[in-house]
Amino acid sequence: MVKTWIKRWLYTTDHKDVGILYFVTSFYFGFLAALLALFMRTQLAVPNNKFLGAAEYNQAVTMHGLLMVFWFLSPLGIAFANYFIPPQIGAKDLAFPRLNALSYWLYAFGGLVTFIGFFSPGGAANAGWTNYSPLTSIQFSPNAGETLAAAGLIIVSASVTVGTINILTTILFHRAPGMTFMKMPMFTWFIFFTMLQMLWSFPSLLAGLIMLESDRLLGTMFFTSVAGGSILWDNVFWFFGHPEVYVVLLPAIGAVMEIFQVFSNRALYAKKVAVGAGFAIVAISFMIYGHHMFLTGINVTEQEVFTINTETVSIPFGALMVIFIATMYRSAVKLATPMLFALGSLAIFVIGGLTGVFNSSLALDIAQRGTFFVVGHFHYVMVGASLFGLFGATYYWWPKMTGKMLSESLGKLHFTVSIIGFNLIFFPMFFLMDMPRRIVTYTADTGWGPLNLLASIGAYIFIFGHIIFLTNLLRSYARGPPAAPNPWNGTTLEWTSWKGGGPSPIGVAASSIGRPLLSSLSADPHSVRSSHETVGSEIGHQHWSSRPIELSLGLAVALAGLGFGFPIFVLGLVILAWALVGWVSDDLHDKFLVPDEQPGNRWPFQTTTKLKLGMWAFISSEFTFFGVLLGSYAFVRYNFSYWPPPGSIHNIPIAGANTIILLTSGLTMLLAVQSIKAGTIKHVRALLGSTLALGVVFMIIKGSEWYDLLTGSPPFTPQTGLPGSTFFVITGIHGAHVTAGLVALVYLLVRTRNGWTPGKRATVEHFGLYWAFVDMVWVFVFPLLYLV
Amino acid sequence: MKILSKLINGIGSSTRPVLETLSVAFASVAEPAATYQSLFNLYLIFAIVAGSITIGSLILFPILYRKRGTAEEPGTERKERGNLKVIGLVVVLMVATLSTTAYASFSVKDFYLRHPDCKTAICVQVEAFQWAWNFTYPNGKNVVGLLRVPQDTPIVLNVTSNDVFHSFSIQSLRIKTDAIRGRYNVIWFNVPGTCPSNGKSGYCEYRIQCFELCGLGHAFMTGRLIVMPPTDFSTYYNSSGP
Repeated sequence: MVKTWIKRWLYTTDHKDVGILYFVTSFYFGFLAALLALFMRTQLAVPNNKFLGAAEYNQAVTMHGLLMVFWFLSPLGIAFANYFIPPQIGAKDLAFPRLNALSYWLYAFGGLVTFIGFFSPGGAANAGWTNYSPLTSIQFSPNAGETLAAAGLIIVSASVTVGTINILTTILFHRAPGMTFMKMPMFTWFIFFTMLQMLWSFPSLLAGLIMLESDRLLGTMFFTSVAGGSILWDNVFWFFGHPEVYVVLLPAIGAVMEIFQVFSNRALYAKKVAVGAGFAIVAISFMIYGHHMFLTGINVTEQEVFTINTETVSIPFGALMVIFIATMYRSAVKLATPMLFALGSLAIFVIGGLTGVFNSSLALDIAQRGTFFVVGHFHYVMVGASLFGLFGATYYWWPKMTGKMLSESLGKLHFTVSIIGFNLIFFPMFFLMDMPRRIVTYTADTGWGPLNLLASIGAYIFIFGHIIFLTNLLRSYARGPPAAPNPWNGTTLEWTSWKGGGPSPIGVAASSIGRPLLSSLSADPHSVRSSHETVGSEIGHQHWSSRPIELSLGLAVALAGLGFGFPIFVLGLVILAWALVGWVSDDLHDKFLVPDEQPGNRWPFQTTTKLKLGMWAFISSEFTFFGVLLGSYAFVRYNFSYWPPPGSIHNIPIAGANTIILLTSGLTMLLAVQSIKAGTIKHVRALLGSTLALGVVFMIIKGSEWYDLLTGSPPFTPQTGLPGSTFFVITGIHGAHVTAGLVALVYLLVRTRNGWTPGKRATVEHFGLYWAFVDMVWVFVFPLLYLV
Repeated sequence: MKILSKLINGIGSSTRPVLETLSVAFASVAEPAATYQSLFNLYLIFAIVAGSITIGSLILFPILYRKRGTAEEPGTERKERGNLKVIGLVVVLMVATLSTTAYASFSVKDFYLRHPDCKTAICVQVEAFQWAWNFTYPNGKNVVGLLRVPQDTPIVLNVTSNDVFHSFSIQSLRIKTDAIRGRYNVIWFNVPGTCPSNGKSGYCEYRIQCFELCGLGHAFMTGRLIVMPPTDFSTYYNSSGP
């Protein structure tokens, strides 16, 4: 019985199970981070306090930020997205179930890798969640904790990339017949916006982290040089960082929109405007990050542009506020707990957003930058708007997830205590504009004592509210009253198409919007080939896999090895390789079956396959990734007075020949894809083989090129200033992409040895997209690194 | 009516300095702190008005339009409505407000940036390091942690860092700039010699502090600005002590 239970939770790929995993794990990390906050507030309650020393405080403030942003708020939104997007759009599951499990396990193990920093010599990361350079360099942060934190974040970036592709493809591809975009519920819409932001912002973080780890471990100079340094990190991090804060916010806003409609018994006012506002927020959010850099010395015209753009983002939010208020106009509002939290979330968001306008001013920022005014502002939007919205979502969707009702009186108590505690902590901070952030203590003569004491009292009250919440959840789960299928009279499909009470049958769309989808595969004798036993009778059908957790473990151990030593790194690579081989072998033996979905509404992608959509989404994120890498190269080169002239270091003829070889491999791949499209598959395997051979030659020549540089006299290494740093990291990452492509080619050749199916043809086409992209990147890299 | 006129007078007087700076070229002597405060008050007034209306509605509407009776007809009145005029009006109001605030901010920033040259001002090099401030005067005099300046004289600070990212601030004067290795950021100020109460030195003192996390000593990276009469300052300046 226990074995079955363990097997279910470790190997599930069902979206509801993964949603529950995300839900529980995010609250776990959230409580850890809240404890850290409680320690900080205890330390700051009185002047000259000795509860935490500077070392502990800096670790607490850093890990609190990291855990809250990456491991609590955002994943909690994803938990609800996992659970409820498929039923909301009438789909059976997410588009790629194993990738869903993979994104969860990567996130969970990434958190462990970061958290383990606390137990490493030198303690956890302590340079702030923003990891500013050069404080995070190996010189100023020699402890492994920073390496581990960056490693954990790299793992989370992988998790996010996989997860966003999955959810985007699901929304674009798996809507039931009749589920047009404008019929989609607002929660799904706002998750869609969140996914777009994540897809294009996280690659920037990933690029920055790779450069940071390279600086720390390989001696490159991206962030330790003056040409790169603080400003380069600022740009790379905040290009990610600003969209990230909306990533944290938008799922909560989406949930609040659902709750508002249900508990005012009204449709959302001006839904089209709300959707338009969402698109505007996505677009504008990428154009405002410079407000974190007002005092760094950037050009004043840039600052003025960022002030205007930052102010502009408040306009769609203003429109949303009108929409929320107008929805309640002449309605019938029921003040149940979900609605209380939704209203509280918006009220707090107003304060947070307005103080954001103060911070958008390039002039006011002179006083406000680095002070507790900023701390107050972002906690109002992150904790207040986002967390309260997600609390509301929990109260709203709990009956559907568990089949039990939460206690209304405990819920209302939770709300009251929380809103008092929260405001008591953070409102005083707006009057602490003279107090710097991230200081372990302060002297009495500053006069900051009384307001800090008030804030700390508020922290204890707020924590008490969390305890009430936890009690409510546990009591309800253990012996709460059973919930009706639609206790709130919701009209979205997760309420009207499931009978409720425990894990629900999936894939049943309401008949009002079209034909029901295939309800179950249990009648299909070809559904599962393996002989594994049924894992839990509640799942319904057996599409589980051990590969996601194995792969995540491998990657996590390997990246933890960056902080713990080479043997661990190698161990991780071995596990990773074993898991990959296992995954590939599963595919070659058709061990895992994704449930079929009947064609639904796929506009505007009616003629595209699911995998192709996923591949395009992936490539668009790679655009950002390489864009940031090459942009960083351009940035440091522009700022660095001396750069070796073309040809003085690199052998241009050989590199040029190598370029031709790679492009020829692109040609053979293109011919392979064309043949498939034309229907003649006779020579496709030969063309794939040629592509593989040319790619291998490319890598061999590249390897010898590197060898010559590293052993030359004088040697040209990653430590050879910025030219060395940029050359090796950029060509190295490109080479890694080529190698991944070569491994995929081997897989394709093996997979097609026994004949062709439409699926196999499609797979080759999709790989062709990837290979074309890799070639295209080289077309930019070669002139930039060799010719100019 | 009287309350209304008092309110309008209050708004006017607190924003007048900003409005003055919008229309008049800057004189060489002005207090950044007062300028900052009046810009802040401009934002604050808009924020209070917008916030009261919004939060007020969020509190009022659920009460005003609460569900009455127990008849629950799910799905009634769920037709979508959307009169775009209200949203359009709000957007227009926001654009007008935000344009005003942006323009005011640009003017204030312009004031901050127009620093006098080193002939009329005393130019001091400031170098941040973990975890104190190193001040170098034009005559080469070098002091750590203590910046003495003459009153009513423009002081220009050229700020950089020796190691990590710091941020130099004399917060009560509303002066701040980032200290980054390899970069030089300029700020300036001009302080009268009178203040509510004198510091340990017997003169007006202001707290200097670091506003960017820079390691273990970040909380203790403070300094003192001491504002002295010109004659006392001359004595100090030409001496060799701290």
